Amino acid sequence: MATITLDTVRKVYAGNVEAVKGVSIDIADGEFIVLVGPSGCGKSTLLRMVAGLEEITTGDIRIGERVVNNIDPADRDIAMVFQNYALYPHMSVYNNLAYGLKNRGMNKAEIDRRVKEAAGILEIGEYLDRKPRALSGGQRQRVAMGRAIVREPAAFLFDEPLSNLDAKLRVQMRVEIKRLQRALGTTSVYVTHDQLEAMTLADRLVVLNGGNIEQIGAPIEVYDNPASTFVASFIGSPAMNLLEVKANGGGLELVSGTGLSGANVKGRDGYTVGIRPEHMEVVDGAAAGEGITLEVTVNVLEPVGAESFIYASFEEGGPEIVVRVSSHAVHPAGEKLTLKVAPEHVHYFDAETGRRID
Amino acid sequence: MKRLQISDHIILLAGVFFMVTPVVLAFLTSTHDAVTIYRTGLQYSIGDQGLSAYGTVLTRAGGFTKEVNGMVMLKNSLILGFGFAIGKIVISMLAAYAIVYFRFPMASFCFWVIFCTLLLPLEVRILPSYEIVQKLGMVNTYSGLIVPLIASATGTFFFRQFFLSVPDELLEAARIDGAGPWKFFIDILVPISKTMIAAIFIIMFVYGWNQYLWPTLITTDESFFTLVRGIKQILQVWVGAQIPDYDQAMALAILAMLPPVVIVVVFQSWFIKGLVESDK
Repeated sequence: MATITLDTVRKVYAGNVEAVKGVSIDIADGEFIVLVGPSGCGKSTLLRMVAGLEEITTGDIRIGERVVNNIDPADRDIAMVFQNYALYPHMSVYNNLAYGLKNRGMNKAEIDRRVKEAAGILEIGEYLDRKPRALSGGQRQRVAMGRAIVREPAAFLFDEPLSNLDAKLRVQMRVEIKRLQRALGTTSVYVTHDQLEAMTLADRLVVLNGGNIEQIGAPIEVYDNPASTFVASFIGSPAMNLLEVKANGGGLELVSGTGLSGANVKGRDGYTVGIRPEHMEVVDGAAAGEGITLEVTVNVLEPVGAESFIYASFEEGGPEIVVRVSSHAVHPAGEKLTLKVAPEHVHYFDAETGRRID
Repeated sequence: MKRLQISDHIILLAGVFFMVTPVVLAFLTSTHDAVTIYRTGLQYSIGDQGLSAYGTVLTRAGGFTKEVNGMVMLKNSLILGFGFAIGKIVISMLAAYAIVYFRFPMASFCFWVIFCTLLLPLEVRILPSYEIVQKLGMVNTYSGLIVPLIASATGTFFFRQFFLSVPDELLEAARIDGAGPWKFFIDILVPISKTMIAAIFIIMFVYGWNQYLWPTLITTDESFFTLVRGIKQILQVWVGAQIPDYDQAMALAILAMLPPVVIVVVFQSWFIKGLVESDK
């Protein structure tokens, strides 16, 4: 158990490519941190620097009180779970788990105790004699996690561990990882590009973009108050609707045309307005009142079971928005709808910088 | 489709005919006595002396000094074949390991230098090679027979390609598990390379077994003769009016073919696995 501190960590690759641009994060003891972002945002590089697989160009990484910049991965007291599992194909499951302990010169009885214990926790006890190739994807993932658990490290590092699993198994393992991390209370850093995985697992999310931190915060905080249009469009599915607006008298209207009117909302040029799909309500006719009113035409209705999504636009070929409605709502294509958004659910961003304006 | 299959078979059969006929002829001839062979040439039937030439050739001391028999030559050939193959595998694996996993200056340049030695087969550098081995006093020793031959660009190339296909995460997982370079090599890389090792072993064993020029140069002491060069020795002994022992020469030729055939037949599934499959 330990805290992990990243202090203005930078990574510059040969050819002056800056993958990580001065990132600072304080990770509390026992906390589950998820680094999330699109591919190439530097999240994996960051994780690999914590693991010691990648050198740090400048800055410090501390695990506990110790600066680990120049310490070998094996001596950092961390364990890592890889996307492709990276199990030793010629070793039995038992030996896969035991290998790291043997290398540390642990005695046989202790190794056996730890392997059995981890196998019990992960329910892989009956596979201990098998080779990895005789296991299914989910079982391999458990073995990979077992290899991390037996080490009883100060921190777990997960590098997209679920991306090679099918959708159903992914959900199941996601729950399991969370349960396990809670039970063991081990500080964990988890890298993923899947915002749903990030939301469900994290104590705190770190949204990365282009080597910079966009936002750090609890998942629901990030969801409710995205710090930028990037975070707004990345966290949440379907993504937040982002519309460029300009001032119109006391209210505002769409830059690209009409169809949106705001009353009792801030009006200024150079705004981007963000509205989550679930915060729009279908109303009858021109219901006045506070908030934003949108006049749209339905393009497609997409039922997904528990809910349905309407894809609609203000005018032909114009920007499209997504609206969540109840699962049994009937809205044929071409239907004209009036949508209402309460003022507290409207997010404002600077159109230039993309930063949030409160 | 049907006709295509028939023509396929005809082509294959023709290939088999060309490959096997000389061997069959050698075998049939070896069952006749030397006089018959000398008078009428190669034989197309089974002769009356059966397999006795094989016993003779393995046990009777022959050659110029009468000190070497088939068994000794067989032993020498096996030492050469195994030493050659194992030596090549060890050297080329270590070379490929260094090239793939260690960042040292001009690593790929080093690899291409090694690769270019393919352009310099033994025949090209035979005089300087002999000079060095002779100066080192390694003439008429097993090490002189084997060591100068074990550098292998082909082996290095194959292992390099194989190592490049091993996922990096395996190395990283091992590093986090506390395995240093040497432990990673022995504990992880060698075991996962075993089908590759088997494939290269077969190729190299047969290659080493069939060496002719180098053993001819480097061993003048008959007790170091290998089977392949020993065949010639039997035919070379012309003492007075004595007819060369053609039957024994044929028997020895057949015997010299057997071990490589056995190795290939026994290990062929490994061989194909090693060259085709990648189980990582």
